[in-house]
Amino acid sequence: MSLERALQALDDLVHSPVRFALMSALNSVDQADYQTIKQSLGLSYALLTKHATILERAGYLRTIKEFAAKTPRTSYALTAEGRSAYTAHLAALDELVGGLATRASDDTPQSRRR
Amino acid sequence: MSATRPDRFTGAAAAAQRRPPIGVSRREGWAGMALTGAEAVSFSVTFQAHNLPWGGIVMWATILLMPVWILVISAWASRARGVRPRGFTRDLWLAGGWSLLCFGVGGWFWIAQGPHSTSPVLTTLVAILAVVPMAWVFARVVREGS
Repeated sequence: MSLERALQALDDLVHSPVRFALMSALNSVDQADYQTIKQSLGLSYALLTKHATILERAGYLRTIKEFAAKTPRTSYALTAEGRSAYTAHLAALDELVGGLATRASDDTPQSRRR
Repeated sequence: MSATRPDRFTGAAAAAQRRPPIGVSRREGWAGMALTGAEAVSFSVTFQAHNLPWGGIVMWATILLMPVWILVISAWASRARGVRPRGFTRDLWLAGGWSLLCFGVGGWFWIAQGPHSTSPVLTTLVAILAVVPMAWVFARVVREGS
């Protein structure tokens, strides 16, 4: 992947700090309950809900609502599409942080002579 | 991806999926273990029901009580639900499928065919084997939970 293609591959929906943090947390597990996410990321109710809704509308996140007695409990999980988008975004970041450093495949005697 | 550059982001994300997460509920794991134990007992009893006095009543009582037990434990588990580690859902489905398969095979030989001469030791062993994977799935939650 070239730097240009890596730049194009960055996903604006994933790249926002809150959404990136949320997707990073959810990518490491199958699903996580609302309270754990909120406390781990130090987010307010409004901010977490807002960004979760954006990801849900994009099809990247699934909200699971259950009732324990009369108490509603919310959990979040990434969808397959969300995991795929997150992985593609990380791959683009991997390429971008490599900067202009030469690749092993480029570092041949022919390329050095040029 | 290039060969010289470490895949620092994708590598870290893959490594994070292998480490135990925070927020896993040990109580949810114990709820699952309780369900698994009840399942083993119910399989064991139903496999020998035809050979027991009042076997028909015992079998139907077990079959009717099991859904009630599942509902009670599920309600308990949902109150305690926390983070579910990566792979938990897939493992749970596979373990559930194995359990059903074992019950189907055991049920065919020891329930559907009527009275049989198979040793209770063997039928109990099959009942235990049916729930071992599910016990392992919930034991992981207990081990990683807090």
